[in-house]
Amino acid sequence: MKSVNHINELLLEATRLQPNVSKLNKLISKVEDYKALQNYSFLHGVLPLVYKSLKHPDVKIDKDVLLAFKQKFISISQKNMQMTAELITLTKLFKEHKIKMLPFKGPTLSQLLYNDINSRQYGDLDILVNEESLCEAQELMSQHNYKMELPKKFLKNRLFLKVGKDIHMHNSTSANLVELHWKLFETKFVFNKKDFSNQSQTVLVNNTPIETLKNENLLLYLCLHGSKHFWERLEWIVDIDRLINVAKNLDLKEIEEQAIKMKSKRLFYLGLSVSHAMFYTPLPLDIKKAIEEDKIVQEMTKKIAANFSKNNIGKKSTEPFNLDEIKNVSAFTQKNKDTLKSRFIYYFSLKTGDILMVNLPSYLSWFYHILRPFRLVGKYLKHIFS
Amino acid sequence: MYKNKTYTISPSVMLQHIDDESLLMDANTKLFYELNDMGSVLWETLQHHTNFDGVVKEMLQNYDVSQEQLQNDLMLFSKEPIEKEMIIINEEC
Repeated sequence: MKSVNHINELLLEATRLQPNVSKLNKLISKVEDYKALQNYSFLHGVLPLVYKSLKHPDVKIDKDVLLAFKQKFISISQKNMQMTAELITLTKLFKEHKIKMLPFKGPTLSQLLYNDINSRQYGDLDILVNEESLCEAQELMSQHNYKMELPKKFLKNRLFLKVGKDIHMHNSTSANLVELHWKLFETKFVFNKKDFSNQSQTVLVNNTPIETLKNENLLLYLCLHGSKHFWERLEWIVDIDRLINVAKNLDLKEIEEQAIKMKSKRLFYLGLSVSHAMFYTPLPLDIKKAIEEDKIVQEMTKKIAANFSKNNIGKKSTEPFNLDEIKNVSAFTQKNKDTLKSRFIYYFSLKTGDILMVNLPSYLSWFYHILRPFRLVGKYLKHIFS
Repeated sequence: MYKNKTYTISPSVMLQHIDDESLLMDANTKLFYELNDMGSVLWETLQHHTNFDGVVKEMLQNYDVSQEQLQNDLMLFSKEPIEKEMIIINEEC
């Protein structure tokens, strides 16, 4: 157990913007299980960063351990190169067919944060399109070796489009997964319908200009995405820290206003708070003060840091009825009093899983609300008996 | 051999410097090629130009080597990528 704690401390130090070499050496000397170190680095999505810190000439680490890290890093880099090439091909394909798209996370985020495509781990590609272009984009990808997991009829189901946010497209040649989004979240985080131009920025990936989310939208997305997953992986926190450090003239006030509109100010604050607590991310004084005064954000930040120390990675998502998660959802809302309302919303709001049970015509969409409790009970029983 | 000819590097090809290695990847074939230092410099120079004469001129400015030697090295280096369509020789108008 002791060695696991040192591993966490080591991961944290190794992923800092400027790791302290003497602190790294102290922590390395306490690690008993180097396989676990590599495994946790990978699970937290930070293996490339950890490897880069460990290979510093003044870091004292066993050569074989470093070699094992290097081999894994090269394997991640090769995968990243393949995915980046695929993204570039898709970008050109969409451009030829005049379909506007914004790739985000993956290679574009890595390029923005680290000026290369290999310092982040990514397992899929994420592309945002307008809802109006979704069918056209899906059709185009289908013509180029991509297979959709769902039957196509769901793309005509209005409720599915309202409740869902993305479809999975598998490339049958490369085996890569592309998540084709028409929204970034199930909530109201929807971009300008016709024109992405004022919401985007250009990033050069392998000498190819690619449009991606502008930094303000990206930071808000990262804060909401990390909160959705309870900041289980260190990479999500590192991304926030790096973006704030790297992005010039980042307008945090603009993001705060957008977050307030989306009733997600607390989620935004939580992202900043966790990053500040773990990486000392610089924040403007007024925002820092507001975060410090929000007791729920402070409490959640402590829980997330404790969760990281306990190495709970991968243990949460198997619970279909996780009470902690529900408490978190209610705590994240901007009004503190509506816990019951939040629980009600959590249980009775339709999810994509409900729609995917059966494709109903619009006039029968009320029936999904009747089906949902049965689906939840079935899911619960399945969990118990498995 | 390739004098006065223009070329295009296939968009499926990507060079990355990973750690102390230079890896060239062809996304079409999913094959990776490890380049040595000189190979890496040559490929990067190829990326900045569209004809071989330009590559030779730039390399001559930076390296102490004869033009003939450089042309031979360039031909030898680019033979395989051309065969594998990683470098595409443009048809003359």
